[in-house]
Formats: sequence, C-alpha cells, structure tokens
Amino acid sequence: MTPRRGWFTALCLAIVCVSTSPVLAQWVNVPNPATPRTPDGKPDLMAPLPRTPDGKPDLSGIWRRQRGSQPATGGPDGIGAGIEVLFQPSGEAVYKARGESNGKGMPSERCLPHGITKAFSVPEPFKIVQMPGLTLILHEEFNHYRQIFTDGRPVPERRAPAAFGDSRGAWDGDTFVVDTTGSVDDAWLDFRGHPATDALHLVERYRRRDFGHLEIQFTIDDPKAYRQPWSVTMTFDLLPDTELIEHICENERDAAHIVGN
Amino acid sequence: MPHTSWATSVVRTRLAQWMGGGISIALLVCGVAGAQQPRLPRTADGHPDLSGVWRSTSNRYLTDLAAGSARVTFQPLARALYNQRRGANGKGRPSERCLPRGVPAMMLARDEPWKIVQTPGAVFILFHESLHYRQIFTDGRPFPGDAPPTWLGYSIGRWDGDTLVAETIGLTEETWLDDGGHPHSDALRVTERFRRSTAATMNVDITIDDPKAYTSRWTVTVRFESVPNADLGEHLCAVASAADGK
Repeated sequence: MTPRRGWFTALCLAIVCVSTSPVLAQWVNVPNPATPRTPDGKPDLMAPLPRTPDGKPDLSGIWRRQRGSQPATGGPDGIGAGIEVLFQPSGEAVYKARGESNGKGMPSERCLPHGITKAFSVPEPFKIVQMPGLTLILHEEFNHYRQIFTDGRPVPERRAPAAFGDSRGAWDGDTFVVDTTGSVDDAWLDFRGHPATDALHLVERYRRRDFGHLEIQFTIDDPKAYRQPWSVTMTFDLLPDTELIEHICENERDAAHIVGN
Repeated sequence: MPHTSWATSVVRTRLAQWMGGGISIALLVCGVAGAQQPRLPRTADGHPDLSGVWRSTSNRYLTDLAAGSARVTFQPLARALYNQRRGANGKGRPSERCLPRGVPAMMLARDEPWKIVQTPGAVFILFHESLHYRQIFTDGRPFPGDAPPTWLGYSIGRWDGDTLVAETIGLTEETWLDDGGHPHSDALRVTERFRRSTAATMNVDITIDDPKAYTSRWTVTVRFESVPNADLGEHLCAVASAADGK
C-alpha cells in the first residue's frame, strides 16, 4: 500500500469517506523536469517559488495537507477547532443537530460535492492549474473540478446556486485572493457540520511560501449562520513528481458502512 | 436484504430543481458578448486551440455508438452481453447510479456539454455532468506500466498535424460504450481524433479497439458544436443515502 493510501484508509475509519479506488501504480511517479532539485537529486521543497511570465507566483502543482496538520479533518470542532465561532441561533441549531446525528445527511454521503472548505480539508491531494484567465482546482477526491475565473468576467446576475459557488480570483501582491458567492444553502463547511447558507461570502487567500509549501486562509462571512466572520488557515505540502489518482465516489455500494444515525 | 431497484434508489438532481426553483439551467450563460471567431484559433505553439465549451449535435451516438456506417462484429461473449442489456432496455447502466459513463460515452450526451482547457502539457476536459474531469497528458509521458482499471482510464495525447490524437486504456469493464449497452473488455483501447474544422465545429473520430469484445476495430465520427459565450454550470447526480431506500 502506498503511504498516500495508508493515511487515506486510516481516515476512512474515522469519517464518512467511503471509497474503493485502486491502490497501486497509476502515474504515481512522474518525474517533472521543472522540479528544482538538491545536489542529491531530491526535490528541493525549500527552493524559491516559481513565477509565471507576468511575475505572479505560480500556484500550479499537486498539493496535499500535511499529515496531522490542524485543523484536523474530523475532530469534535471540525475546522472551527481553536477558533471562536459566534453562531446565529439558527446556525447553532443546525450545527448541534448535525453533531448529534454523527453527520448524517452530509452531501458527500450521496456523492455530492463537498464544497470548497470541506474539499480542501480532506487528506486527498488536489491539483492547481494556473493559466491566464482561469485557475483550475482538480480535486482527487470524487474527481471534482472547480473553476476560478481571473479574466475579469462579471458575476452573472442570475445563476443557479452551486456546491462550489461562483469564484473570481485576483492578485493582491503575491497573494491570490478568491471571492466566492452563489453557494447552495444548507451547506457543510466541514465534516463536523459547520453550516453555511446561500448568504455565504467566502474569501480564500492563497500564498505559496516557497516551492514546496502553500497556505490558504479561508474567511467565512455568512451573516445568516454566524454573527461575525471567522477565518481558518490550512497548510499544504507539494507532492512533487506525481499525478492524481482517480477517485470516484461509489458510496451507493458502501451505504452500509456510512456512519451516522 | 434491501430490495430497491437501481432506478428508484437514485435521485437525479438538477441543481435548480434541488433548490425548488424548477428552472432547468443547463448552462450558466455569462453575459460576456463577443463575436464568434471566423477562423480556427491557434495556440502560441501553432496547434489548433480546441479550448471552449462543446456538445454533441445529437444523442445518436450516445444511444448507439455503432449508429451509421460502423461495422461491428462481436466476439461471442460480448454479443451475449449486448443482447442481454438490450433485452433489459439498457437497465443497469452505471450512470443510473451516478457513476461515470466512461470514455467515450461521457462525451456523447447532447444535454451534457463539456469544456476543453488546453495547456502545453495537458488537455483538460471538464464535464457539466457530475463535475467530473478528464486529463489527457500531452507532455510525452507513456502509459503507466501498471494501470488498474478506472472509470475514466488513462489518456495520453499527441498532435498529428492539426489533429489531437488521444488514446485511452485502463477502463473498467463496468462502463458501457453507449446507453444501448455496447460492452467492452479490459483490453479496450479508445482512440479519439479531435479535429476542429471551424471555430464552431469539431469532429471526433472514435475508434474502438478491443479484440476481446470485437473481432475488428471500428470507428465512428461524432460531430460536436461549440457553445459560444457560455460556461458550465453544475449538473449533479445524487445517489440515495443509506436511509432513503428503507
């Protein structure tokens, strides 16, 4: 078993994350000539961050949460661990109910997308593809993608609410700032069940510190669920010289294993 | 033992309906006005630029990939499986359970557009259906030495003149080549030749090479049209949760 899958399997025992994806091989070792290397040939994860021709940091690469990093994917407080989260009464009621039912009814149970923060909280990696006008996020888990438009297109006046909302990105110095609105109501920000409503305005601030390290600060501004905005930061390590492994949600085959009551 | 048919255990959810709006929004039209490009667009390296939103001009090949001129000669086991699926009116196909249609069927539904994002080392195909994506690597890498079966396979691409040639292996036998039930084995190799003939039109020659299922390889040409000034919305498929079927 690869180290990646070992961690994955361990996590599956703790949270709703049922999968039967293949374990071995695929394109797990794809040496990339653009990877900076130390004299012994290993990827130099402390090398300076790469930049695109226009001088902006290039966030492209395959990233994964550092093992054991906080906030934990599961845990009693979800991504709100260590943060003072001031709920609205309705938001608190939803949060409590989800906790009491062990997370029953979360969208991923039915193979629906996690939504932005929850998708980043899982241990499976994701790939950033940054290009002029568009940045793609390809999540390994569930094989879902997300588009962040950077071509200046306006936010449409009429749109269907979406699990990943409607994202627009712009640079603030070396920080990539993504504004997302248009999310579905009754969403889950994490496996613990922090709620979000259709009033959610999510701001992500991506900062690639060096070749091998990325952090994203998420600010959750949802006045229908919380009395004030709150922020959480997740850190990610580059996975060099590899490729995503296909993972398709097949929960319908494993319904008996899904937790919750 | 729960006794629920696949058809009833699956809830097809268009997001608009999910929200109770009842509005069938297949595409999120962005208000960006722009004239259609009359000439074939090209990337900086001179290749045709296939980028954009596309969809099949009909459901003909989704219904029957062998429609039209293709001569399909089955191996006996594949013939039996095909007849069985036809006898069941196509019941039991993976898409009923929100699983991917696989290659090439996931390209073929008229109502499920997809978007090509072309970069120097890879061509990405983003699907309206289920928010899934394909990666076709054009950076010269070979197929993986060990390619366990997957729903979308392993795709590598190269340019043959103005044609993008994508080859795909490693597709799970669970996928169907079409909704009609043309089967395939683990020996399947799909070749797609993407030919953008005009700014608005792309023809894709799809070759099915599967000696375990068919006595000879066969090819069909499917026509796709560009969907200008549009981007993809979300079309999600929700499987029934554990409690739904009880």
